[in-house]
Amino acid sequence: MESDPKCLVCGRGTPRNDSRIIVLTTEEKATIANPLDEYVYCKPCWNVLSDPNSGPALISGIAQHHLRRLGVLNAEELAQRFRSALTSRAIRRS
Amino acid sequence: MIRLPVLVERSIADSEVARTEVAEAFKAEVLSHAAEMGSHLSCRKGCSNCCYHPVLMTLLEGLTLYKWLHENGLWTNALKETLKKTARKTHNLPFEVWSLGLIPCPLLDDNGLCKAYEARPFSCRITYSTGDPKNCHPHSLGPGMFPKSAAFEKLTAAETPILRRHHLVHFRLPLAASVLYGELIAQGGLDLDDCQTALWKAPDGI
Repeated sequence: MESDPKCLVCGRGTPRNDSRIIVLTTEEKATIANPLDEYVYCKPCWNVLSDPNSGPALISGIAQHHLRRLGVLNAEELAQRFRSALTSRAIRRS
Repeated sequence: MIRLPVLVERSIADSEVARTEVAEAFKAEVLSHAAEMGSHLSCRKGCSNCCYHPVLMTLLEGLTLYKWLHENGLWTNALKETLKKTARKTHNLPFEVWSLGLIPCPLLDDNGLCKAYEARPFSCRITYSTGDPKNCHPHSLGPGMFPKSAAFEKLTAAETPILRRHHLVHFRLPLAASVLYGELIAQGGLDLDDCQTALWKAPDGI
């Protein structure tokens, strides 16, 4: 029996029928490095990610932690700019 | 004024006494530690960096908070709607995602103040910072808040027998869900002594 896929955010196993699964188009795949066949998110994480306020906050928060670990001194400022850009895109879309 | 069965009121009072005692003892411990280190508490009115961290509470604490909000005229449709939205969003959500998603406490007002400061949850009463308050922000990697797991352990030991009187295991729910269940119990929609199974369900029922 095939095991449940893991949520890309929290890493927990999540049943396929209770998850948000995103498959990129060929054009979208061409714009990113090492694209996956599908992007799986559990329901609780997707609720946060898809919200125009908490989604950009979560993504920029993760980015800030990565930048800090890489030793980027202005990680907070970069993450803030990233968040503003994501928020304005999310608001335009919603 | 909400009237609950005498035994429920007794448990609410007993659990509030336990929370107050543990919180006060913990504050004394934090102050003594800060004095030893030559530092002081840096928490200030209007700083709300800790209001984006997960807050969990037992059903009895949720009931206490609901009663306080109701009796102080703060239980409005708008607040209930905010609590419902937050309950849906925080249900089964990992703590790290909750913090990084900067999901605000539903009791936080537009000025960065707590609407229920006097009756704020135990988890908030034992939140202290002795360093730069910026480090309490969920996106910060700094040392942040004073560790509070020891206080939670003491409270769990004190609360467990009180919860057992109502056939409840010790279980903490996110603030929003707990307060909404508190409303349901206070309004007679759910019996405290018979609600353990309801707690495991998705928050659609509240």
